[in-house]
Amino acid sequence: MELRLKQELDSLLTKALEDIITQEQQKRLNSLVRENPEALQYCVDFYTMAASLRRQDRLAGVFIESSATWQGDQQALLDALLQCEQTAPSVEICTVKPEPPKTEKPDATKATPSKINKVWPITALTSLAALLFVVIMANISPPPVESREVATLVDCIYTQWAPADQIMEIGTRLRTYSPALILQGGIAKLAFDNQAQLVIEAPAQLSIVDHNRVRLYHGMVFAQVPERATGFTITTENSTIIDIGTEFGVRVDKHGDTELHVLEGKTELVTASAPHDRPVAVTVGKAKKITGAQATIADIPCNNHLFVRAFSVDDGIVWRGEPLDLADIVSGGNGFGSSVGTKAIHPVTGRWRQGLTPPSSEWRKDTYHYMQVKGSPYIDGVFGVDPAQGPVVVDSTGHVFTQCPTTCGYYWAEIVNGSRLKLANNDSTAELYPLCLNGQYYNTAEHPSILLHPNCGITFDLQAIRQTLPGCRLKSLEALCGISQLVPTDPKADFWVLIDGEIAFEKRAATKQDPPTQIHIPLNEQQRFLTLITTDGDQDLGYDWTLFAEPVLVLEQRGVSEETEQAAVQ
Amino acid sequence: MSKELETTTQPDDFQRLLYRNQTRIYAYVLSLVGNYPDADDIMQDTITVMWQKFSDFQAGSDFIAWGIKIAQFKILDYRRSKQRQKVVQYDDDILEEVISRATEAEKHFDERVEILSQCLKKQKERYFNIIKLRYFDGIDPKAIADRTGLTMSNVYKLLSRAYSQLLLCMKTTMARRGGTSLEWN
Repeated sequence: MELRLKQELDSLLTKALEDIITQEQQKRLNSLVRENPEALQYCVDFYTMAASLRRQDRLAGVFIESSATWQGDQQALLDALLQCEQTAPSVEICTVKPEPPKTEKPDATKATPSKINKVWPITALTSLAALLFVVIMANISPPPVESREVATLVDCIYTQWAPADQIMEIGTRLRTYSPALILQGGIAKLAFDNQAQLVIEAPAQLSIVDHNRVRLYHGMVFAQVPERATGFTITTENSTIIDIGTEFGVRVDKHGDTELHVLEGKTELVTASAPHDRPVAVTVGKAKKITGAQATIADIPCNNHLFVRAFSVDDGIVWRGEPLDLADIVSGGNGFGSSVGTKAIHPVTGRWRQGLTPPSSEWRKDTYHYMQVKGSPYIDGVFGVDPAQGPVVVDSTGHVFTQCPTTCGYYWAEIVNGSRLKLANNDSTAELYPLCLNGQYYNTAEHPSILLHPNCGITFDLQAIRQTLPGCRLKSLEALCGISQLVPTDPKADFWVLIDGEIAFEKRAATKQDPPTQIHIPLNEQQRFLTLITTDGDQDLGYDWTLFAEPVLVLEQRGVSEETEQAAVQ
Repeated sequence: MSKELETTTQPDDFQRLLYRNQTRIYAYVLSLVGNYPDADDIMQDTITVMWQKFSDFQAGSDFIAWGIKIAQFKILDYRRSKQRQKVVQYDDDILEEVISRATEAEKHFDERVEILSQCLKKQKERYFNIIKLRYFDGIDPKAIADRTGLTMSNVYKLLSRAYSQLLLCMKTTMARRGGTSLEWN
């Protein structure tokens, strides 16, 4: 193939590849390909190479290896490129002009009288003018590259973007070929058109390379990638992480060190020390740290609670995978540690109190009704338990605890979070009410509990909890139950857990000597009400310090398509 | 067409098959379409159809050939649609020839990628760097121009030369190996 043809093809194909080719140039390219079989083959080979570069997972190792020897940052690389170009030898400017007509070479055997070519100066001047014209035209900027919209900002909380005047509202479409996204504060969620989702936590800097790839310069990102978007890739300074249908988090610190935590499914990790033909598989529950330009890979513990996975702007909830704490809800919180103060709930009135009423040896009795609790969307209501007064209603839709045992009919205390246990007159309760099961105290923030002294119950609204975090599913209730081992007498009591009025767990006649009993109740989407009840086991309330220790709802993230369906249903 | 024999059509196999083979299907699409943005769109549509029709995929048959067949329909739709607005890559009467050559190129894809990888390492600094900036760092030509002070024209010329050098290296390497070669001089 002639050099001139090849050069012209190179120029036209490069423009075509980036979709900046003009119509005239496209026609010229089509013409060259039609007329030259070699040109057609060259095109095919060119595009095969371009496709490999674009989807360059298998070539990433080459670039990462080079990063190991490159001491500068990206800007230094750009500066080096400029310097190269400024000192590079001048090259012929590619032009798009027709092939000059072929002329016969003169026959050297024939003698021809020498002539002065009077036309030469004119031809030379014309050629020079043409060359100048070409130089001028070549330096006019071609049409701008057409970037593509590939993702949407779908949610954000407390966000602060840089520059400050950058408009980033929910619904903003995000493009390739755009400046990097710089999140200085808050959390943002991006949804790609291929249904991959990213939650970005500030401070972070990220650029969208194409519809299936981002570059994370620094910060924390949690990716949820459905099957349709398999191959979604996050690149960092020293690694490339390729999704194979999974949920994973990536953190890049200010030194450029990368952490990968895989929470679901599988990823492949490509680095200088794990090149493309020998990637490292990182599967669920595993995590790796990639350090330095040499990209040393080390195992680290997988942290399921490190990355923001979901958030609720309305409720101010940021979820990192931790379970929802029912004790926190009992003291007025959102289940994620937002409660303050020492609020307790009166089981008869359903009203909030600032702590337990002063200790009294008197047991109290009242007419019990199911009372809805205002002030917490997650608590449906509370009630006293005395079947002698009539059916024991356990939720606002009227479910009845049909198998409720006979009780003495009295109650003694408010329903309270053991870690916020205080008397209403501010006296310390730690010595008065030591809440201890099997040597572990459950009156701290690290080990909370619900002190549910008989004969009372409290009902949580699971549907309201689901609506707060539509990206999550309630998987199960987990708790321990028992009577505090430090009470001075030998009480007996019963523990009950009901789901929509049906018994899901019972522990009858528990004593302080019994080890705490594990509660594990799987939950499904149809269940609405979760009720905890304690009843006196022996018609005696004395020292029935009955605890539900560390009662939590375990959450799991919905799949992307499932989240979309759930939102449609709601 | 190289064979991708599979013994199961379980849904979780789809992602495994796609991950391993999508670049080959993409190379075919790009060869016929000629530009990244449209090739990306067609590829996405193709994957969607492949996923929807995965239950039709016969275990033991060629996944890549199946994917390319679906892509061809998408490409033809694309051409019909675009031709109303602009000149598309390749005139209609040579399309069959292009398809034939793209199909042939796909047979040697793995070898070409391996050679491309070697050739990348051999490139002069300026060509390697422009390719790295464009493809690994994901910086578009305009941003490269803005951040270096080079003109857009210079950036495209540099890319063009880098591509040219890579192809030349690939051709030389393949010829030296004595196997299949790139059929242009």
